[in-house]
Amino acid sequence: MASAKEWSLAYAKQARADFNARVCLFDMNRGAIRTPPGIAVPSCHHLMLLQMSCEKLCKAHLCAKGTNPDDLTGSHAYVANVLPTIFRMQFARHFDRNLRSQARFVRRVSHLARQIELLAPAVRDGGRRMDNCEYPWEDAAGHVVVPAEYSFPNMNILKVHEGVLFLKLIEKSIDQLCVRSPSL
Amino acid sequence: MSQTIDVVDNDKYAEKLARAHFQLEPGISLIAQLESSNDAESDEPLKLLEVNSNSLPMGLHPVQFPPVVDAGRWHPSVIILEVAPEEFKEIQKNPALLPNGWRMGRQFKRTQKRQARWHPRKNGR
Repeated sequence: MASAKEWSLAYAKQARADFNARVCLFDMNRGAIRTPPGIAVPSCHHLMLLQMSCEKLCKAHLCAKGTNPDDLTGSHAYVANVLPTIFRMQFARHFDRNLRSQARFVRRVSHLARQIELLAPAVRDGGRRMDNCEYPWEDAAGHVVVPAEYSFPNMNILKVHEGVLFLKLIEKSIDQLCVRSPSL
Repeated sequence: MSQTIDVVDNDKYAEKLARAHFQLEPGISLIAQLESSNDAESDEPLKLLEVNSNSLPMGLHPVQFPPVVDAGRWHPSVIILEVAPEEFKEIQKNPALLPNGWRMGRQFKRTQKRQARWHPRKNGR
């Protein structure tokens, strides 16, 4: 039977693969990778890969202390609770000073983590949030919305400086699990 | 070229993390070091319970962080068990709810709402 460490590493590796796939999509959109003319990857696919990567990063940290992997497969709703803890640890470990100035960012991460969690179609906030990265939904005005045509304004923070830092910390957190000490 | 690695013990590291986490997350009201029968082992992670009013009560899920060497500093393995206040009340009523046979150890409390001061004290002493 596979150990908790093996499960944790497996989740971390898949998180890395999801994250890398998102980077490839960005490279396609900015022309660094040749694609057929007129083809661009919409935001929903970038965000879907980000949501998948964050979810697996959180599950990698949960598996490491023996949470049964079978218990984790039934839900996507771990990001909002676990991701802020991961970021808090990153800051606490690597900054000795000016932590209070980072607190605002960490608070925004908590909000962003919840928004990322809601990108999964199964997480609907009790029916209040139907927008998601995969399936069309009906908005409050009765219009059917296609994810590939939706701008996801709640995720605009990813386009500013804080969003770039957020993505770097996600990547760093994944790498710390993928290349880790054997004593974990 | 050899690199010097700054090693800290778990108790001092717990204080550093508690101080940092109070500053970073205003919803945390209490942090407790968790004890286990394996604490004498050198590779036993530091375990912290954090009571966070911004946390959703979703069950007790310990989150483990691997040891990391960064910029010449050794950071030991850490486990964070974040709980909502209502979950902490249940744990206080029934400490056996803590996973893995863990026990409550010394506690760090936030003393002022907007100032990240902290006062370590032994639990129940």
